[in-house]
Amino acid sequence: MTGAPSRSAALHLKLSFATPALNTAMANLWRPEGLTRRYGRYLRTMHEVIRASVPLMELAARRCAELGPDDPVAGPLAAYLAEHIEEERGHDDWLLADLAAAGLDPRGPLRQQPPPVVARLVGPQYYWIEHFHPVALLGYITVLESNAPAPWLAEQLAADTGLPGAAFQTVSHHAVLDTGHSAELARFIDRLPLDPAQETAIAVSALHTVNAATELFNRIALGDLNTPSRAERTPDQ
Amino acid sequence: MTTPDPRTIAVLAAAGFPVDVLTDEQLQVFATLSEEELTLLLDIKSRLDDVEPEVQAHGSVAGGALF
Repeated sequence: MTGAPSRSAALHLKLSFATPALNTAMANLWRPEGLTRRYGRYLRTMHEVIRASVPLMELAARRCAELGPDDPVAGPLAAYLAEHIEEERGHDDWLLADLAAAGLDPRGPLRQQPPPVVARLVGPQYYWIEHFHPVALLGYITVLESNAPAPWLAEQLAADTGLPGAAFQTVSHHAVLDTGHSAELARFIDRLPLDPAQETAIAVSALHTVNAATELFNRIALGDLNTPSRAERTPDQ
Repeated sequence: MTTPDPRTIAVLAAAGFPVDVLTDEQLQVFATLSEEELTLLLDIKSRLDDVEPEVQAHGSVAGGALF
């Protein structure tokens, strides 16, 4: 590398130290042993996560509108979000269709409260959008877009589970759709007139997202979404 | 931006991050980590360290799971 890295390159460099933990959790999630049952848990849990994606971006866009033209980041961020909202709309319904194709109840995820481990992943974004700056959401989006399913994953999962191909439409579609999103977002971050606090906010949001997603996938892999986390335990537990 | 702090690199090295392979420009990125960024990286590393080495090795073919 020559010269100081771009903002997005610095962000991805920081993430390169974080992603081995997330990659290990995802590899453990997809191990063939017991995958059929675990895949159902994954679909239900991802619906709990992904059904917040468009509402999060809509909230961030509303905050951009409130910040108005005096905030040099708000205008371009609102334009980016408007486009990305339409790209992501309805993807939570794909997960419900996958559940039905897998022979599972597609209404299941809507009947129960999402566990704290899901709230720890998604919830901070609401707080940072409302109480700091909506640009923090770009860290969350960066991590989600950078860890999209590989092109071979859907076929591998179908082979390992014996479930019909129709049960893997979300994974299959995102292997195609998310191509290029990450590079586009990196270029957008580099164009934004961020101040140092906003740049750090994106990185903190991204690193928190890796941390929480790692915990989430570790829990799904263990089949245990409700045991208190390390932070929630009392010292004698 | 946070003022560069060489102690941050030492903390990362002690935690097992591969700082020895970084260029000077890359080291500068990590030397200016905020306290929150450093705390998160250390927490994430501890999650990886909780996993057996043979399971860690599987992470090279993770497959992705987010969107």
